[in-house]
Amino acid sequence: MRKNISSPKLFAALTLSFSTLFLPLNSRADNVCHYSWSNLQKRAEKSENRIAFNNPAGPLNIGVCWWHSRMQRNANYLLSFDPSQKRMNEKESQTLIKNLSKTKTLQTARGYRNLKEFSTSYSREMQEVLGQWQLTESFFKLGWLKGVGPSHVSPENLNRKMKDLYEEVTLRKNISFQVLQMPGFKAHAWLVTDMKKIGAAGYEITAIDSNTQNLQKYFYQPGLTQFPYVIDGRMFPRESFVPYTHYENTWQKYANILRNSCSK
Amino acid sequence: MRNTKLTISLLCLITLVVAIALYSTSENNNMILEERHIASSGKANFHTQEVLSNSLPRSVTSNWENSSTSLPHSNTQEQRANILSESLEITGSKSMSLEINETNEFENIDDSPEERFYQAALDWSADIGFMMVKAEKDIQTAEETFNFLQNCTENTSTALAYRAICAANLQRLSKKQSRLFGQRYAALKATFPADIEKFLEEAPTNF
Repeated sequence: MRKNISSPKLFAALTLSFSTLFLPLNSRADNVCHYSWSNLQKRAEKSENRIAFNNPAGPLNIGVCWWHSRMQRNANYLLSFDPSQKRMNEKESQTLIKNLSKTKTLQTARGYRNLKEFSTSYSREMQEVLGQWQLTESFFKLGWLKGVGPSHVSPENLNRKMKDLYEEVTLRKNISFQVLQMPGFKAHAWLVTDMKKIGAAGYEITAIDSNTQNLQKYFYQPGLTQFPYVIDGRMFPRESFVPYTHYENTWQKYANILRNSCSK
Repeated sequence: MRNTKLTISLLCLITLVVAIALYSTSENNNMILEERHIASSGKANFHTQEVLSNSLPRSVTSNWENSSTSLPHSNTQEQRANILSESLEITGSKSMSLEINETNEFENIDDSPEERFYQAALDWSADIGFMMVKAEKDIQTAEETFNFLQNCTENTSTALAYRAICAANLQRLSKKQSRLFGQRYAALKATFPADIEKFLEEAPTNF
C-alpha cells in the first residue's frame, strides 16, 4: 500500500529535520570579537543590529538623536549576543544599558539574538537612559546647544568635508558620527557607515538615521553648499544641513577595548 | 513501508550532516575574517588636554566607584547623590568638559578624575532613568522618586547643575503622574529656588 505523504510520522520527521537544521543558526552567538574592523561597519547596516525604536522625543522634547546614534554605535562595537544562554534578568539588563552609554566595556546580551530583539524588550529603559544622557550633558555642558557650525558652507568647504569623510569611512573603515547642523539651533545626527565615489568627484553616502529604521542614501556632487534633509524619500528643504564629524576619536576607544578584551 | 522508513531516516541523516556543515563553515568564516580589530589609521588629532588633575580628590571618585550599582534607593541613593554633588562642586568651578574623554588619548584619560566623574554621572543619571520607568508602574517607587527629586532640588548646598537635573526630572514625573503629584508639584514650584528657575529658563528647552 502506498503511504500517504501527509502521514503524521513523516511530518514529525520532517519537522525534526528542519529544526535540527535551523536551531543552530538561531541560537548562534553573535560575538563582536569574531568581526574584522571593516565588517563591524557592515554589522551596523543590518537591520537586526539596530536599535528597534526611532529617535524618541526625550525629556527636553527635542529628540535624542545624538545619543541614539552614539548608543547605536557603542552597541555595534561593544555588544555581543548569545541567544543560547539564559536570558539576563532585569537588573543585569539595566547594567548593560548603563554601560552602553559609557563606551567602557565589551558586554554580552545573554538570551538575545541581536540588538533589535534586546532593544524591543527594553525600549522604555533604553529611551529613558538616552533622555537622561541628554539631560546630563545638557546641564553639565551646554555647548552642544549652541550648534557646531553654519548650516551652509562654500562649495570648496563641503567638498573638503566630503573628502575627509571618505577617508574616515572608506579608508580607515570607521563608522563616523556626524552632527547635521540645520538653520538656527536645530541639529540632527547620523552615523555614516559607507561611502562610494561616483563619477569624477561625487559620493554616495550610506547613513543610519535615528529617525528611521531604513538605511539612508545621500548623493553629493561638487558645487553643493548643503544637503537637503531627506528621510525615506521625503524631503524637508527647510532642514537643509551641513554635516560635521564629532567624537572622531571614539573609535580608538573601541579599538583599545576590543584589542584588550578579545585577546583574553 | 520499509522504503518509507528508510527514506525518512536518510532524510534526517542528510539534514543533520548539512546542518553541522553549515554551522562549522559559518564559525570558520567568522574566525578567519581578515583584520582582527586593527584600528589602522594615520595619526589622530589629539586636542590639548584641559588638565583638571588633582581637582577631584581620589577619595571622592573611589567612594563613588565603590557604591552599590543597584537601583537607587534610600541610603545608597543619598550617598550617591552626595558624592556626585561633591564632585560637581569641585569640578564645576573648573569649567569641566564632559567631552574631555573624547578628545584625548584613551590610555591617558581612562583613569583620570574627569573620566571617572563622567562615568559616575552617567551611572547616576541612568539610575534615575530606571526609577522613572519603575515609577510609572509602581506607586511606592513613584513616591520615593518624587521625594528624592524634591530633596535634591531643594538642597542649596549642592551644585546647581545637579539640582537642575533633579528639578527637570521632578517636573517630568509630575507631568506624567499629574493625578498623584500635580498639587504637590504646583505648591513646590512656587517655592522653587530662583537660581533653579533661572537655570531652567535659560536652557532652550521645553520642559
